[in-house]
Amino acid sequence: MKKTVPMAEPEALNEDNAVVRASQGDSDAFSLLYELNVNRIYNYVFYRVGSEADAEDITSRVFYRAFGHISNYVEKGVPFSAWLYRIAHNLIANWHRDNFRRNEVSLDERVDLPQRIEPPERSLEQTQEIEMLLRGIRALSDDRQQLLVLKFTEHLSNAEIAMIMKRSEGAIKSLYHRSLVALKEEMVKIGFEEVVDEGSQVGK
Amino acid sequence: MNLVENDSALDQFTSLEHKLASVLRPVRPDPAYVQRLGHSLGRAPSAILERNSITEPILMIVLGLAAGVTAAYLIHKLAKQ
Repeated sequence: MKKTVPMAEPEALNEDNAVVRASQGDSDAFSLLYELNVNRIYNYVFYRVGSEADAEDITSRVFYRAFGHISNYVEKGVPFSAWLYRIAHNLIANWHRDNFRRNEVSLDERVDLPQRIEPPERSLEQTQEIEMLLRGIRALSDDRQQLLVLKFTEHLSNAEIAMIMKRSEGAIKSLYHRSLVALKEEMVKIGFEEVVDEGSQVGK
Repeated sequence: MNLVENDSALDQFTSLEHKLASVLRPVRPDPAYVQRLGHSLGRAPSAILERNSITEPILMIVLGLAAGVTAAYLIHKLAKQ
């Protein structure tokens, strides 16, 4: 007599199993990962390159590269987004290198303001303040910019940033402190001291 | 987000942190772009060919060296005759 074994129901696609299924060639799973991560990757890239067109171009490359290499992805207990951030970080580094070769104009001279989030009635003074601060951030080293963008736009904790940047949590704390010191110095250098002095206790 | 989660030494940067928090607000991509990219990813072949930027120059150098060695060998041989 033949025994009938009930077929196991295929597990519904969700955030937890999407990475495994995408690495096995499931395009729906990759689409889900894309939808979950596209905004944050774009956001990160935008603040690192300062232009919407370049941010769109690099974000596209991030996802095409991820799509091409997802079969090699090994789950190591690190969020999938950390892998995407690292791809983005490498592509941004290439972009800066290529742009530096192509243009003699310094990168920190071109800063698109994030139009989609700002109220249109922004005052001239506010606009200038934002521009100066973005310029100051862009003058920082690569890892300091990365840390500030992840912390302030994505609101990631030190532990999460440590996973993305492959450093210890202590190293991130220390880097954060050094980044603020460097940013303050940069703001003073470009003549925008009120950003750091207003209400601040620096030097007291 | 706890801006000053590190230590008391960072208290002196509170003003700067608040400025950063107000300036570095999340930016969202154009929904049409997101849709377009999602659509093209859905249609992309599973293997994406990326141009290898290192292989080509190395191949050129190897071919150049091989051509040089062959030319030197031929010149040497002709000179002997």
